[in-house]
Amino acid sequence: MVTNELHQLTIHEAHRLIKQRKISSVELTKSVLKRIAEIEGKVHACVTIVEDTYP
Amino acid sequence: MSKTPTREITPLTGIPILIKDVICTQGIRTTCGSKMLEKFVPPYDATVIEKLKAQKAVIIGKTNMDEFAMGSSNEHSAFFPTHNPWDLSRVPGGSSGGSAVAVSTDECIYALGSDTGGSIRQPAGFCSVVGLKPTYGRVSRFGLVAFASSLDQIGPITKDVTDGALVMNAIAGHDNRDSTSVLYPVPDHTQQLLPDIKGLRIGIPREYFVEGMQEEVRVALESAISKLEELGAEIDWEVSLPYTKYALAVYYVLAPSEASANLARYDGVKYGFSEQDASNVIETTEKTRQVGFGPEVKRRIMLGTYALSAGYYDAYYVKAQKVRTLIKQEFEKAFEKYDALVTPTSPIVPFELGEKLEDPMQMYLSDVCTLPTNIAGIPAISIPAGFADKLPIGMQIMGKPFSEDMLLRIAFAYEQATEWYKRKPPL
Repeated sequence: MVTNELHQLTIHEAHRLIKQRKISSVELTKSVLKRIAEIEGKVHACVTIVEDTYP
Repeated sequence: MSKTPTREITPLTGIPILIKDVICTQGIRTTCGSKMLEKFVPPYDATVIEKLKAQKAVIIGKTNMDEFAMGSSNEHSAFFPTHNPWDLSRVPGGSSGGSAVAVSTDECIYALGSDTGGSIRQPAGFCSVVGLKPTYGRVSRFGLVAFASSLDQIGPITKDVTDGALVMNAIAGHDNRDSTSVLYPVPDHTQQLLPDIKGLRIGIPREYFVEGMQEEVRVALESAISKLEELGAEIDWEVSLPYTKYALAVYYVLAPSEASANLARYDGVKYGFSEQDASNVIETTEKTRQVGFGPEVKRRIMLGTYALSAGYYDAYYVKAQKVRTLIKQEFEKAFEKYDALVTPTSPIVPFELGEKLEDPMQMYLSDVCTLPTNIAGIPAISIPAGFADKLPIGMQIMGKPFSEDMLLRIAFAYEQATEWYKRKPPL
């Protein structure tokens, strides 16, 4: 499983992989947070990020 | 509300979502893009947030927006403007611009927005993602910070149509805490997702192909509609909804009127920002609003206060309500004949940051195709329908009340046949 592009998944794709236990919610969430860290400086889409809540 | 057992994996379990910063999240700051609520941490969750949490959705943050959802470009955020990922010098649309950008750039898997006159659909169109404004009353507004209570709805912004259906399954339904939510059965919105629209009757209202519409948008829409025809839909190009031309005027009487009443709660006393440099209560309230609200919010409060004032109430507010009924009836009549109506989401492609900031009327016109549905309370979806020189174009599909599954079906058939939604912005 290619795990470095998980943030590109849709809900139904991610759901299938989570259900099959091929990826975890933590991996998926980390991928999305990494993506935010990379591009948020360009697009400024977010006001608040709450990553600490989900270890 | 149904309780999900801990171990059950529902369609949203474990999947990260961003929430427009107008929806209350317990323990997470909810600013509404305003200085007034810059430090406001809600002590409770909106109903939609409770429903997402029941599915074990992972809320990772809050998205930027025009202040109190008043705007079409995200430039009216009190904090910073959001940029369109397809061209960073352009606006992402608004007011749910942050949510639309976050979905199109994969900063989340999906997002929630809110739509009072196009605030989900217009940015979805500008960013090439899917945005659905549900029927008024389909989704609970409890915990949605009010802008114009008779027009506001919460809805999904997603990467594809299937995801939109999945989110609708999760958030739709009656809620005792929102007296305007409707006790109407919630279907499985994914049931109708078949790439088959043979025999569906689709009308094209000519009033939505407005003067001032960009030629690239017209061309893209005509090609998209031909695709629907190719897929088996029966297209009627000759539909006319003459009251459409009054929708903008009606909206800009009703929405500011409701806003002026709703925003009176920000008085510097109960919660939110409070200007301390004042000598008495009235001065506190005045100074709180002077400093706490931005220019667009002040403009709309003044418009609304004027429309509601003695002597003008009948001429503006009452008259607008009467025309609202006419617009609603015109849609009802159209939907006796058609399963759906198709229009551009916006008559224009994303504009440059700053381009329309000094000209509110030009800014308002970018929502001219979306706001009639809020006035009528009907559902509508925007889906990616092509590009004009790398800038996204959205197609809007409108339907009768509670026909979200029909809209999703048409959108799905088009999406599967075209694959515009697979394009990603060049970041």
